[in-house]
Amino acid sequence: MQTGFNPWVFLFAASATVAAFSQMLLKKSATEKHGSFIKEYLNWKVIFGYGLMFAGMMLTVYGYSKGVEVKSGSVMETIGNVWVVFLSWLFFREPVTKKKVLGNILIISGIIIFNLA
Amino acid sequence: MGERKPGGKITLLSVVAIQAAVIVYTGGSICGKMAGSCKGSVTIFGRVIRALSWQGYFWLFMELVCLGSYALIWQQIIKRFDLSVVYANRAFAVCWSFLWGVLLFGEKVKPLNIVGIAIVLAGILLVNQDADRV
Repeated sequence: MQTGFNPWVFLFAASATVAAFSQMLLKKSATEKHGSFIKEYLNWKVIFGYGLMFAGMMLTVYGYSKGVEVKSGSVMETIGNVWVVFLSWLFFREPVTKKKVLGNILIISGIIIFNLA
Repeated sequence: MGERKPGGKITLLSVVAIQAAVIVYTGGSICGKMAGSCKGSVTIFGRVIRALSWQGYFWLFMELVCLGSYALIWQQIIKRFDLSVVYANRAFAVCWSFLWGVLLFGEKVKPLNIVGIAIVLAGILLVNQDADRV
């Protein structure tokens, strides 16, 4: 059983960060016009985006192999919500409203409380 | 960083579509868990190799089907809505995963689980109030 702080838990934050960047690539592709339905998926942004997401998943698998508990990993991954709000504003000028900020604080709090059970 | 074109509010139907994608995504995790529990061995040229059983490969295949389906739906969803809103909705995966765990694997329901899910839901509803259709 793992006791004390496991620094490998930060891999989950790294994974969530990578996943947030991959979402930006997916969104970028989604906002562009494509010649056909299939090209909406078969383009470098979507393929690279899912490749990044897969790399992020591998980070979590490695983290689990280093003894990180599932609940700790899940909590660390909520950093992805913060990244997506920030990066969506940065790249797509999506507004950062009070409700979005408060809503995400509630979401992260809820996930922490869920994992305290 | 193009010009934004805000539109109407997120509808109940769009929330259902987003959650359908999230359910499919969490279904992939369940298939992965099922695959992991189907350990077996295969014999190749007389050598016994520890691997998944055929049932295990079936669940692994189903996991890929789920993740592929999720990717197809997700791309259509983020085309229509703000990413920061849709991504917040994805957090409800915690509820679906929990539900699968209770229904399929007999995991116990604890009060903090319910409280946590209720707070996540409140957060999502709050974010959705600021949703713009692009």
